[in-house]
Formats: sequence, C-alpha cells, structure tokens
Amino acid sequence: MSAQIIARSRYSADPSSGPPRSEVAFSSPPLRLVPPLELVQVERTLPHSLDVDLRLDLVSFEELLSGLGRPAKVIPQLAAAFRDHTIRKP
Amino acid sequence: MSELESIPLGDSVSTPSYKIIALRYEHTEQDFRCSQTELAKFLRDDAWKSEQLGLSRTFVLLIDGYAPVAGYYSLMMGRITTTDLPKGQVPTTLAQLPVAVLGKLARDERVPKEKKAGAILMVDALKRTLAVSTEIGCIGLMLDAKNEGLVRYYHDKFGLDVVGQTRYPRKMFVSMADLKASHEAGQSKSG
Repeated sequence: MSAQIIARSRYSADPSSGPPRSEVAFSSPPLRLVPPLELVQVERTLPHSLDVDLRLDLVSFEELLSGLGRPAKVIPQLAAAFRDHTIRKP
Repeated sequence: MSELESIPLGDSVSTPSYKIIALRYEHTEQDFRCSQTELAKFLRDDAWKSEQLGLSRTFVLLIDGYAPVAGYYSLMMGRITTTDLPKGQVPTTLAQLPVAVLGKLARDERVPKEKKAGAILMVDALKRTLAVSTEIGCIGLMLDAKNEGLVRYYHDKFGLDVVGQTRYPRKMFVSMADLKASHEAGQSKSG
C-alpha cells in the first residue's frame, strides 16, 4: 500500500470554508519503519570482513596526508620480497 | 610490458606447484586450519558471502601436496578518516583518503613455514593493489597487525610502517608511490 501525503497551504484565506484550494496529493513509495532489533539482525547476517578500523587521530592523519607529496623511495626489503616471492608463470 | 601488467586481475597465477586463484565456493568447504580461529572462521563462514556482496575479494593459495587451501588473503577498498577534525570543520575530500585494505591474510598451519606461503600471499596482494591503483584512486595499502610479532613481520619483510597511536591491533601502511618504486626495483633485480 502506498502512502499518501496531503500538503495543505498554510495561507488559505478561510480554513473553515472546506478543502483549501492548494491541496496537493501525491504518492510516495511504500515506507516501513524498521525496528532496531531487525536492523541488528540484518547487521549480524553480514560477513565480518570490514573489521579494519580506518579512523586515525588528527596528528597521524595529517602525517599521512603530508607524506603523499614526498618523493617515492625504494624500500629494500619490499623490493627483495617482490624479487623473491613472486609466483612466476610456468 | 612488466609481468604485473601482463596478468589480468582475476586470472590465476601459477607455477607447477604454486597457484593463486580467486575464491570459489568449494574452497570455503575445505578443512582450513589456523591457530587464529577467526581466520579459519572467516574463510568458512564469511568469505563467500562477502565475495557475493562485493565487499571484499579473496584469493587462495594452492600448493601441490599440502593442505587443500594453503592460505588466503582478502582485499577491499576503504577510506581513511580522522575522527578528530577541529570542531565546525566540514570534512573535505582530503579528509577521506582512499586506501586498499588487506582485511585478512592467513596460512594453513599444516603448510611448513619454509614454503613462504605468507610472503607469497602478501606479495600477490601488493601486486594486485598496484594493478588496481592504475584504475582507481588509492594512496596505499593498510592493514591491522594483531600483535607485536606481526608488526615486526610486516615491517621487516615488507617495509610497512605503523601509523596512528592505537594499541593492538596496530594500523600499518605502505604508500602506493613506495610500493611502485619498490616493485620496479624488485623486478629489475630479478632480471
């Protein structure tokens, strides 16, 4: 069942003289209030894959942000890892 | 063309004994053993659902003659934010930094450490992140290290740095620029 919303003009000259001229009716999609318990149940059905907290304190965040502009550097152990632990195509 | 560019995302990368492929449902039914039970539980109960919803992408390592699934990792996209913006300051684009997140990485405990399953998975995850970053904005890779041993491992073996003031799990990060430079250096060394 679709909800119907009636908007009435607040500026009707005589509110007691029947329906206001500016009465507008329109339909909206069905609305449903979801009880909090149901929301919790939906949340529990989602996989727990997003449990990495990506919030930083402001100082750390700004350090990370300022680091974006610095020149790239080769990290020796990372370069070695790429060299030694890449699976090669047969 | 570099090797990275020659490997389309989603394709398998294999040698006669090692193979990394995208997760299939059958992998979640395998007997995956890990001392950290939540990592075994994720593969069994959540990885496939997460895959179907598009929340994360999981890749499994198969090694001939060892556990059915030797290891796996899960990648997703996220955004780093700060909760400490000065009062009244509206978050801007630069207050939300896009990042690849290594949500999970695990090795089956029956696979000997000498097989370097963890390092192989990590390198594959980093290479996949590099490939994605040419198509989607991404400043680097972040992960949560659950304990001091893992902080040392990710720093000493892969150069990730701790960021933030948190206690464990500690956030660790490597920038895309450093990742790219290090990858190119590693490729040139391997000839």
